Amino acid sequence: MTEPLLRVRDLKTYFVTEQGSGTARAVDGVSFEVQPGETLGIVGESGCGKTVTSLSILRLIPEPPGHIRPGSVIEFEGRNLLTLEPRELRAIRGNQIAMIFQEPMTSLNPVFTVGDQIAEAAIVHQGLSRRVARTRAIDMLRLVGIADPEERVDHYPHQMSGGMRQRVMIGMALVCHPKLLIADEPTTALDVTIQAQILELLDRLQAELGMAVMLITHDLGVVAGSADRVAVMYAGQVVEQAPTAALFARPLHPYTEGLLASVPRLDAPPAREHGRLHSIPGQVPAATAWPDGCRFHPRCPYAWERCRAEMPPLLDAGGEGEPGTHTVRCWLLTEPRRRTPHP
Amino acid sequence: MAAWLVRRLVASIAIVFAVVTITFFVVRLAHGTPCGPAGERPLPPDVCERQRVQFGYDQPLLVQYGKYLVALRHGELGESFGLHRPVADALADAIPNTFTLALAALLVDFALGLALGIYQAVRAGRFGDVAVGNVALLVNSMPVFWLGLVLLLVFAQWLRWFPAGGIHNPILCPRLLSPYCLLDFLWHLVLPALTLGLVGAAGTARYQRAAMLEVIRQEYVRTARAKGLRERRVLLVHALRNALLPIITLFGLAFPFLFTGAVLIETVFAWPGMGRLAVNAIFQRDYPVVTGAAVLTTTMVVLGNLIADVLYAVVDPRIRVQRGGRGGGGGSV
Repeated sequence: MTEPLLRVRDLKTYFVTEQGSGTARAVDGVSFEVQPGETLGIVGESGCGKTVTSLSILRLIPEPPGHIRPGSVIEFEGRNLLTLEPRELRAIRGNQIAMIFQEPMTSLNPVFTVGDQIAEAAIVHQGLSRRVARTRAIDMLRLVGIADPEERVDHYPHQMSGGMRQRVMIGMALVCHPKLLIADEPTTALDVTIQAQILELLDRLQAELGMAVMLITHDLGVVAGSADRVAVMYAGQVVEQAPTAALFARPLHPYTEGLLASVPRLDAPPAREHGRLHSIPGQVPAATAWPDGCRFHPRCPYAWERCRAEMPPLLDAGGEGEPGTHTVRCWLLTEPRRRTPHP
Repeated sequence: MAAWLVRRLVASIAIVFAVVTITFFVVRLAHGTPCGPAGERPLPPDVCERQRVQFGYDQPLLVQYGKYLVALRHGELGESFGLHRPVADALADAIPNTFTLALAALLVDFALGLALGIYQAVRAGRFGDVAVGNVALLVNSMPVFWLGLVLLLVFAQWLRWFPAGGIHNPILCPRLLSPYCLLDFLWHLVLPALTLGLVGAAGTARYQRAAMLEVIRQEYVRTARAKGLRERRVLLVHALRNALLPIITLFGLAFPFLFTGAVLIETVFAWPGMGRLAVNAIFQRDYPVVTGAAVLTTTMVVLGNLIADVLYAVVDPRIRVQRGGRGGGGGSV
């Protein structure tokens, strides 16, 4: 195995809640790796900690109220980002690791032209002159598929549609050719047709620029089309991690199973439950009070005593590839015959 | 933009006209006559009568009003009967002094207010923020003239760092233009400008803190950080430019505050500006001067608001692009 580009180990990002009623353990011991050039999908419901995970990597968590616990490790090319000086961290932000966000409407600064906003990172990191950086900004606009880039470069965000703004965001993130792009729900706020365009664009740019992508989404369809590997998050933890094909063919965690069952399918009309779409009962518990034992057990159809008492570790599920390729945080792996739902 | 500007100008002229009318009539409702308040240094009745005829005060009030408006169209403000000179001349002498004072105070107000507000927002909830906030509240609740008197007492009377009043050294610099006299003038300017500016800055800081706190939470500020910008650039370029929008409204509102404040401050510091001129004229029932000062002050306040509206367009591209799309009012952003 090659040296990973990014290695996150036992990441814990906690928030002190305002009333002092407790600590929200938004991310609670997350580990994963991103290899150079690959796409890792991170999937989960709202509130499972996927956005906090992505913000933690570039240390963009507002402190206070948030803080990353000591003992967490985020290694990028062998350097722990959590112990870097501010100056060293700035040299990585926007240069080696770039980020795009969910809301293209609010993620761009309304009072600067898109050209200036794209050029800025190139000026700061590569010391380009304003004129050269402007040319670079026009190139980026062309690269992300915006028509009339020479004219658009002087436009303000409010003069553009949502899809175009997200293209601008992507252009802004890629202007320094980062090795890793963190895309936090890049298509959630967009129309479905635009979503497909943006994902295609990301795929194309990834191939052209040879970067790795961390794709954070709640949409399994997005992951199926784009990701090489998937990490499923639930309640601040990774509950299942596998190559995309393996995960879709053989989901082992009951939560992953539930997620897949709740995706509408055209080829197999849902016959169960009188044609209604499957849904996972209950909701994600509050981050201030995760359940004891397995955090999914209150919603799990298979749960038994052990699940209530003991938190399962990430267990190797075997399958194709080296050990550790497909891991699952579930006691079912030790007792597979219990995989029959309670009445 | 052009059509919008014309609309705004028409509205501004209407406001000035309304203020002229109201001032013209209200000042005449006041007790006393130009011959002096009743009982105080009474003039002989025949002198009084001669003056009334000379200045046209024997005619019906509406006729006087009509004549005043006609003269105003030519920029004439009438003849002061207390100062024995045209009102326009008296105002022309006074206005540069008030303007300098207001401008200096504005500078203190916004330079200090913005700096403190930004500092507070960055340290929100911590000791620095709370300390500055409390001091600002204290200063903001002081009456301007009282703060002026305290500063006078401390810095002019006790410490003798600054002069106690006036605009320049009457012996060395009565009219002389020289580097020394310029310094002398600035030296006289410090206390009144500081008094007026400090009270303004206390308010401005509160607004700036709120505006900045609002903006710091925005996602584009996070985007700026994710780009690898220095924290200083994130705050002073990406955040501040947005936080300035609500402050520009304040800038427009600062003008009336500065001019009314100047009335009191000019009296406290014996500053020969419009405020002092107007106050004296009111006591003497010098109608033309009172009305003239009101016209001029209104014009400047209205102009200040107009400047603020144009500044909006400069700072916020969203307003610039919508040509004439905005109503006449000062819409908030």
